[in-house]
Amino acid sequence: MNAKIIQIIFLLLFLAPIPAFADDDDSEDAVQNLGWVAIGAGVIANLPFIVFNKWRKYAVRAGGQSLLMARQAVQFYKPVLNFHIILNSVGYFAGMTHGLLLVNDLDSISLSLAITMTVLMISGILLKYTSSRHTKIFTRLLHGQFGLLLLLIALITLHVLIGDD
Amino acid sequence: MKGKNSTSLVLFFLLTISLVTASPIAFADEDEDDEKDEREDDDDEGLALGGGISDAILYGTISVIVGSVAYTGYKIYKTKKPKLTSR
Repeated sequence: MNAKIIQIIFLLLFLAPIPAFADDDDSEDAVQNLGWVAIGAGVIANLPFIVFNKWRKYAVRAGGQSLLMARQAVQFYKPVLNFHIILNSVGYFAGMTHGLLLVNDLDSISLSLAITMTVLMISGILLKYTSSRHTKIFTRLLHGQFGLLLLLIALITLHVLIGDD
Repeated sequence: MKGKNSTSLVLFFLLTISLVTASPIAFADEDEDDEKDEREDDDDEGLALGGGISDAILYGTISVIVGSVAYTGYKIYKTKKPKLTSR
């Protein structure tokens, strides 16, 4: 338990220097770059994970040699999942810090983006840590909703376009 | 039946997303044609909270999220519902 608290404090320490420089002009760029970090982390965290899962499903359905390869790839599932969770957490907290530091320029797209990110994050955390079978099924289906992914991509695109103007 | 449901849900999402993305573009064109000087002044304001378009985007997002949660619940309910045997 103590080790977990230390880990969380250690992670928060990485974000501590950002507000200290928030008043300078240069630091405004740094805060904006934090948004790009969030987008980059999200892309790197999700793209390989989605591709890996789709390939595995396809290989199992295809059978034969592909099925053997899919069975061998099972050992890589856990590391890929951990990579997905860690990078998504980094992206989420980077995005939220970026949002909190630029809260004066809050618009509806940013708020919508924050809500969508939080829904996906909470469903992911529940999926990982819940022991209830029903909650696990529910969050598994919700977390993998294609509609939510489309919404997230649309909101990120709009946020970047409007933020650049 | 299952395929029909998912198709209509995908269409609903696409419609909502296209509405959400189309409205700011439509309003942006109107601004460009009408009052160029005013637009320059308004540049800093962006899509501040409380406006018509802003509300549409926010409500659209909330609708999609609530729709997703409801659809997931419905899917589980449908799977768990015992099938009636016909004689």
